[in-house]
Amino acid sequence: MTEPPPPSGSFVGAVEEPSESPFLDDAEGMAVEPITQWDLFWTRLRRHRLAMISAGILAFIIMVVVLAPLMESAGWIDDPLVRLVDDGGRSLRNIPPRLSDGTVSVLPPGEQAVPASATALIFGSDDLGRGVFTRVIYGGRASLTVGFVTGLMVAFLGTMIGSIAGYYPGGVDQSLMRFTDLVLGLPLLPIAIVVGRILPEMDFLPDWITRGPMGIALLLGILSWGGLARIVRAEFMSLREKEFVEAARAAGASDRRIVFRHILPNAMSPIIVQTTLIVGIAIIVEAALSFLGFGVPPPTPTWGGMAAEGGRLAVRGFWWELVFSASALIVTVLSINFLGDGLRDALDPTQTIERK
Amino acid sequence: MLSYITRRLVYGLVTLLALSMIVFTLLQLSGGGPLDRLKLNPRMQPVIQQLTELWGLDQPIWRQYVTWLKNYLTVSEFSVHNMLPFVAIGAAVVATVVLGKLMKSHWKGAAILGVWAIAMYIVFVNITIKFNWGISFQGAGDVWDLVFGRVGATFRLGLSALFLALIIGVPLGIYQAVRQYSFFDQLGTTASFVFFSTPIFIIGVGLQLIFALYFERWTGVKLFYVAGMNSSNYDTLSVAGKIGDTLRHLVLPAVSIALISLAGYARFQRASMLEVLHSDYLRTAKAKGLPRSKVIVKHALRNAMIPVVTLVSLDIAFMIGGAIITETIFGWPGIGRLYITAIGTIDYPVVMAIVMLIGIMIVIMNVVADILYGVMDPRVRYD
Repeated sequence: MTEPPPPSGSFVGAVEEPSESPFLDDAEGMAVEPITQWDLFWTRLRRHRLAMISAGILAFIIMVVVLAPLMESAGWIDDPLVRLVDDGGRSLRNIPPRLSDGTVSVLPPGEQAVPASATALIFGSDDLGRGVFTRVIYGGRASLTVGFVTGLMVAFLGTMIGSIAGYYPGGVDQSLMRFTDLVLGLPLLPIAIVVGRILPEMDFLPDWITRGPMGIALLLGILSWGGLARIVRAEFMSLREKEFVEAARAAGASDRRIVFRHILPNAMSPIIVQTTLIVGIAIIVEAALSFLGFGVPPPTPTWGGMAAEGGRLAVRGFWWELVFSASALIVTVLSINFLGDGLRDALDPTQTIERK
Repeated sequence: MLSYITRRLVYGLVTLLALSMIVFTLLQLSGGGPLDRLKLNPRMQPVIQQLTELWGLDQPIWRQYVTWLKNYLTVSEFSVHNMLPFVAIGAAVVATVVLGKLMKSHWKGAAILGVWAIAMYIVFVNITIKFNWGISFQGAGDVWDLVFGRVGATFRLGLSALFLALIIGVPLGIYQAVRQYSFFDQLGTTASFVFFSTPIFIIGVGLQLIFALYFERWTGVKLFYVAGMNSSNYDTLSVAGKIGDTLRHLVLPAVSIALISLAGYARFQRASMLEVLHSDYLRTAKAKGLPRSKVIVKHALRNAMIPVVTLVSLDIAFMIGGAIITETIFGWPGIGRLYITAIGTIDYPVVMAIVMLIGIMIVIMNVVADILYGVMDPRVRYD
């Protein structure tokens, strides 16, 4: 059975959509299923074992962190703020990791003690007697919020500014690029520290920005799109001159159609790769801010804040809070970076193409 | 090239101006002023009044900003110790003209850059200059003295880290590229990924705990110090003792910064080396029958080093910013820790001075990177 050569990678936009029926000539048994770019992408990504494992781990982490309130109501984990007590009502401070023996309870302020979840002490407890396991799970919320929001903002702002600059040469391009240079010249961490410090005092902003990780996420989004905009601009400038774009223009396609149907799909690869990179960096910066005490204020758990607290406890030999919060952080960022690496390979049309 | 550099410096100035406006406005937006701590004490009322008038804290933000900017750019103290600075600048000007006429195009930039660097060094050693950067709100004294009293510590840490990262990262990347897909290459790639994904504070805290605290607890031998730049009895030590003491303080913070940069350099060097190794002219060199070592060292390496050199010059600026976290962890008396302390109390003259210093470094290093890029790669045209 012979199969037609796959469509050439760099001209996806110009390739016809597959017809409704994928089978060309079923009667003679010579049916050939056309392979789309999407299929090729999936095949290549699936070959990248590390990226697939990372995607699985990442999906698991996101699911656990997002579903934490559900798990709490189902009695699987506890509230991240409550303290654990034993049978005699004594607070369980700095308990090393151990499996539950059924004697641990939680004591919400001013209420009766209720049995803690079975996983209460699986990662030990901190110096206030709070379960580290629960706090690690809830601590992921700040990191994932920052990663998600910053990633979306960077993808949107960078693509928009880069594509406008790349598609409309001349004055528009020049002024947008000067602006991009300006934003790229701003030092990220020092500014983020200033904002993290004064954010809780900025009363004129709505509560959802000043409390919690949203403010930091928005700031990182505003400051980190420069690199992507440069890449997208370069991509647009080269694609704009390609024959298939000229053909589309000659056929009377509108600017909007050319940009969204022909150029943008071909520029997707660097956009996705750069965005995953930024997501990893944003998570690290948020954790660093929380570590320094300029991030999400306590008692809300964050991985960076827990690492700072755990570091102080580890001096006295209580290593668990540091180890588990740091591991959660490293595993998450590492998964994102491995996934980004796999996506880069899979989205690269010059990679050797493997058939199913 | 000169017009290109001038243009870049002008853009840099605009960026710096924007940076100062952004940070200044942000600092003013904080609810409590820098005098909050004093307000707790009722007897301080007249002092607060005086300070408010002195710094113009009751005026609108833009007026305060203009005052700050005017002071920031004002030279408050200036004296020339001897004639050497004039000689150095004159010699540099002459050298620029002569070299510009005599030298081959692409090395010209490097030579002129070097001449000016030496001239600037001579100038700064032989003059006293001080800008009116204000007085710390927390009573820590003159901001210029405060900041430049600490820059040395930050440079010691940053340059040691850079040195470590370079001498390990670059050869590692080259070796990985030459032995692509070998076990060592895979190991190196994975390790760089891990270090690249690890926040610097985890590496710092981890190194501090394991090699300084736990190591001493387990073995009873004090190998590294947990914090600080020198021991308190530093002055009484012998020369060898001084070097040892310095190293035992320096190694851990320098390694924690270096590990992350190192991972980046190794990855970058590997990629750029691979690109060169697969190029046509390298195949030609091999086909001519040149020995492998000669092909790699003479033909591949020189071209593969170009991107790394620019990365490094950009990194010098970022290392000062990156030192903020490491200095905090290791109690290193540099500008990073000063920055954190100053932010905590919204000591804005100090915060502004450090932010601007980092911004200026970034602008200068960007230009230096551009020049070096053109110097090392004659194909680059400035336009």
